[in-house]
Amino acid sequence: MRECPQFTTLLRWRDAGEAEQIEAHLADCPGCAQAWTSLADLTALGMQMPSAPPAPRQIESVRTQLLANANAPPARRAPPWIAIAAALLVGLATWSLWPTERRPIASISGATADYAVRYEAGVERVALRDGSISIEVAHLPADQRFVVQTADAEIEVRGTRFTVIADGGRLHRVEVTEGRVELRRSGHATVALEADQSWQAGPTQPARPVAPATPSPIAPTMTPAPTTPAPATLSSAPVQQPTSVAKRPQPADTPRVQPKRVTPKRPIAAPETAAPTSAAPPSPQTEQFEAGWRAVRAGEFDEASAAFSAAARLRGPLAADARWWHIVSLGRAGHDAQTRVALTAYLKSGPPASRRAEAQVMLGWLNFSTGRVDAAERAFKAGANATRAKVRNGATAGLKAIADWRAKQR
Amino acid sequence: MSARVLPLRRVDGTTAELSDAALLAACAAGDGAALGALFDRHHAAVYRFIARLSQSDAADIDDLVQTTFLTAQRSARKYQGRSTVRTWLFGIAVNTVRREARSRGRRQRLAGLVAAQPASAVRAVDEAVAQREAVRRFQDALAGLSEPLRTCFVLCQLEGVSGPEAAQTLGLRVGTVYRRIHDARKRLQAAMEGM
Repeated sequence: MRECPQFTTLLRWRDAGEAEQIEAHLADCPGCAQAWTSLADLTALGMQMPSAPPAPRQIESVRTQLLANANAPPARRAPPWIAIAAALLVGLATWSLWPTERRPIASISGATADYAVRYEAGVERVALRDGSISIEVAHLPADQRFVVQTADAEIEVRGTRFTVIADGGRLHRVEVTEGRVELRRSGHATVALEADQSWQAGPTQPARPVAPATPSPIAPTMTPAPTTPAPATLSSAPVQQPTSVAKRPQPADTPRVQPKRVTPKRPIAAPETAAPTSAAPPSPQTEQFEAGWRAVRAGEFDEASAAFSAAARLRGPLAADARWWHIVSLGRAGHDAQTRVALTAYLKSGPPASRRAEAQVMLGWLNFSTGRVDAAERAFKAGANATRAKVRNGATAGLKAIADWRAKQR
Repeated sequence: MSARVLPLRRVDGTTAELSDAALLAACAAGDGAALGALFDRHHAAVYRFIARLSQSDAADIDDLVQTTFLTAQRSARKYQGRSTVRTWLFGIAVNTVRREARSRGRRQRLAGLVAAQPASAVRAVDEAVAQREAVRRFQDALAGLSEPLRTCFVLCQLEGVSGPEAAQTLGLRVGTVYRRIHDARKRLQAAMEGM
């Protein structure tokens, strides 16, 4: 049958969603109709090709190797504490992506330990951050697994009794009473431990490394609260100070943070670098930037964040500003984790000194609100020399809040 | 400019909340957690895509998947948002598979695969068996395609990526992508009929 030159046009129409044009042409062109059917049949066969995902154990092996091999971008070699922080964050990411359904398949005791259990697709995981837990796992059926995970290692068992100790998120010691466990540490070969064998972190692996504060995948051990409200002085900071307690249970000595909302008395002003107006039609970047500000004024911070993000990705003079206001919008929308990640990336990207200080103060309040007091202090100190008085005042208020909190702890 | 500071609204934020683009931005900053989250989100699609594209054995696919994500981390700064992150990862996977095939001469082996494997002499006795046999013959025919045709067919027909997005990812003109899909169809059809 003679080939119709229109066939590639059909593909173009398909991408454009022009179903009616396709149908009209196919009705008049037997050659294309036959080719179209053939393409559909071949595609259907291709979709049936065996492409079952690999077993979870295999995926985890690839994931572990990937993260062990992953380095900071060559252009910016990360210092060692970044790697430690990344390892801790890996624990957070892994833990946080598991669904919360729980189906215990083991007995776990560890009254003072900081841990959480998650279950997914035949794998029960204990994410251990701090403390000692003793575990007894009955012999598992072939389709079930039990894994204890710290930020830097995981231990897999089939049927055994053993104790795991972690300190500061890192694996410190494993003692096997019965059975056999496999210890897999990021970047190290797997170690098999039999009954009455133990493994302990060596002197080169400090039990409590000095690392920047990272979000805890489990309940924070403390949630400090400023005792006096800090003045709302930052011009663009999305956060002022913690306003509500963490949802998870806290130790008895955890200070209470009284929920408090500060209602803005007037709309947020447009930034100093607002998009220029001219007779010429606005550029796509300007349009996105202005859309972001319209959303901010309407209180639609998620929408604002998306618009600023789009503007930041486009080439043009507003990219840097859009990136900043994207972060601010994220914070105002309440996406703390995203804001923290974005702020950290922003600070690493070498922003202007004025914004750097402001970002540090924002990060300080975020850290303080989630119990990362030392990190918060570092951030506030970094922002304390800001040229703008309002930012300096914000940093000072943060440092005072930390001092007050520490005084109460004594 | 001055503005009132809005209160912080506490939520249990995680990397799961981040968009793909935000994860990539964090990857670019060396955030290992972001890379882990990106892997968790896309490894199944990348694994399937590489399996369809390369038809390698499982161990090779593991390596290719890992290389794809490592390359993604190292190239994260280059992502410009012109396609979805998933399609962008597919583009990296295409190059990864291409490099690997080149280094091992896999293309030649794949090209000879059809001739090396005669069609099964076993006649299908029922529909299910016939269907499995058809899929197997399709696999062989796909493996026999040239790499450019196979890539366009897998990307657009099997992974559902649009022509313009595929063109952007592969650095081709859109018309070239459509023509390659068309050519792939004709050759697949011919190969299937000749088996």
